[in-house]
Amino acid sequence: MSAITVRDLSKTFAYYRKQSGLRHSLRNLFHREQLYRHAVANISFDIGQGEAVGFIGPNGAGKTTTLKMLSGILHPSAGEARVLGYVPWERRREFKRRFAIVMGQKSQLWWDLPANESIYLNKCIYGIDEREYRMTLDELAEMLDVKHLLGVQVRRLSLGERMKMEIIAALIHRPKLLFLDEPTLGLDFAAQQNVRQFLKAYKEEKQATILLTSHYMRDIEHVCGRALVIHGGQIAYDGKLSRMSESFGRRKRMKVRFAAFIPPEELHELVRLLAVVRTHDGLTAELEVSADEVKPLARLLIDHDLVEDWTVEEVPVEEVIERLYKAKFGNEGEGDDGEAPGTRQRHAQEG
Amino acid sequence: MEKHPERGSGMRKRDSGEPGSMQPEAGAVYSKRSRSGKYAAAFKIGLQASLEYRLQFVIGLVSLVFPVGIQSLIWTAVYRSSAQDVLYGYDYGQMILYTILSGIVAKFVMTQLEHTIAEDIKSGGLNTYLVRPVSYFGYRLSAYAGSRVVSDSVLIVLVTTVLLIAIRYGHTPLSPVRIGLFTAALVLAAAVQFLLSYAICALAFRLAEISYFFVITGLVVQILSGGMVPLEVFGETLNGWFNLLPFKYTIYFPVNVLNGRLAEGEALTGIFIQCGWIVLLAGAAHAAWRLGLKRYVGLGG
Repeated sequence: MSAITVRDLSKTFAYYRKQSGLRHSLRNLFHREQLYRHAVANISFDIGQGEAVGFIGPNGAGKTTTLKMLSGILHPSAGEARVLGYVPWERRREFKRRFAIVMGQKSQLWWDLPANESIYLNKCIYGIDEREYRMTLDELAEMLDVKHLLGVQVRRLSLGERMKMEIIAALIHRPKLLFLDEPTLGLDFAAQQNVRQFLKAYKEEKQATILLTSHYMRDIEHVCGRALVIHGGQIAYDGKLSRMSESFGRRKRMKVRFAAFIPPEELHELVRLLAVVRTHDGLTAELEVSADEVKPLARLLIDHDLVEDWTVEEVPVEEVIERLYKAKFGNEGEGDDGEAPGTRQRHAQEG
Repeated sequence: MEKHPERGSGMRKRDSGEPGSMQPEAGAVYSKRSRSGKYAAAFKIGLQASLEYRLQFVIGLVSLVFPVGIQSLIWTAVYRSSAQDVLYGYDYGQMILYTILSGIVAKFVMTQLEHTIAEDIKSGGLNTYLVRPVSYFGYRLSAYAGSRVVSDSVLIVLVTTVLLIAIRYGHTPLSPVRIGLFTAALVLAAAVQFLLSYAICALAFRLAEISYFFVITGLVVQILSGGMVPLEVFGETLNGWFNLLPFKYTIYFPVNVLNGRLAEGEALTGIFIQCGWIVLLAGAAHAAWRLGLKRYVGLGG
């Protein structure tokens, strides 16, 4: 049984544009040119019960808009969706009791009171009985390591601690469906890891369905098995996360600082068999190399006594998304931004 | 730091894992008691939060001294320079009493809630209510009522003090019936004002920047409500129009019930009119919000 079914869902926002300057401001007082932005355009997907899906995309791709439609905050402009058998934007009470949404940037906690007051309020709102409430609260607070902070005014908590309190408040009714919008945004490394582990444990213990958006690929890798990549309001990739990272994850970026100036031709010639030179300005270079070739490349550079310093990084998620998007919609004339024509062809096959 | 998700045996115990175990029975389990419980909880939390803002209330009260003081000075000057003892149907003592009482009643009735609600709409704070099984209106009203407990108690003490002083200076003592009528009129006035703000707030769904609007409406409403000067000052014609509007039932009316200018029968009629306005405004607010929520864009977060 699928927990979420989405068919041709679209959301269009109306807005207006103003050119800079006082003259245009005055003109805008009387006449505004109405424009439309397709935040989400005809997306369709299914998510099974107990599945954890990572929703990936750059800012403004339509992730949050989709989550808002699925949680009933927004009415769509067109299309259908069923969540746990309900039409979300009908905002039925029975539906609301069965899911939770955690929005990284919107707090449901009372700022001036300790978090446990807000959590208790949710206990009353969801009508949870006392014993069960105690049990869940203890358990969640312990898993997130914030038990000792429940009695502290929310405004005195750190960002990470507050986020954890938000999660507890959202999960106090033990929902089986969980939407998370950037739950780790702005958190430090330890807190991020803690939240990730928690989400994974929650998912496994409850067989909860999770739809998670995040900027951090790690969040998604840790919690989700499947990725939905959205770009420009359209689904660019829907499939196993492992397959997606296979296409790109096996490639690394090596940023090198040379001890002395090295002419471009020489560098190209040197690494030709192992890596692609992405940028090079004589003293520094960025090489793209398949993961298996990192070692030989490193050895090669050391043997030639060229390197002063280096780092090896993943291909940034944004770039992966961009490529996936181009692979899928590339021929619809998005405008080539100068990437080698061959890469598009190659990724189209992988996607 | 390392936590043990395995310890969470409670989760497993409760939910044996069948897909249906968290499902429809939920609706049945949650009793009526819990429904009233959530608004009681909202009331309590509002009360607690208000205690964090004691100073704000005190400052609000102190700020009352200035307009009331200045108006009293003006009226004093006006009565001194006038040949007549009675102006607009008020003698000097009554006018000062009106000025003080209307200042206090305005504090009692004016919600200041419209900014909170408009902000919720504008910045997307409303989102967190839309996804929970709770009515935003009920929640805000309960939390608001809770937040007023302390300040309203202080205001009641203040009103009582003012009246006792007035009686000492020759005002006729109040009958219990009149106190009852005043209490009813005051509570209903608060309801009228709350619904009025709530309905106006629905405009925030359409207008992105609404706080300027509130500055104007706040001022206009306060004048039309008799919060500045008695409405008699505006003359017969305008008062004819005021009768058709809800505003005078928020400040002018309860003050005049209290100071005895309205006979008990008139007070009762006024209370009925207040009830009528409450029904009308509740309907309008409901409709406006329904429409607004349809086009809500839920910005932010």
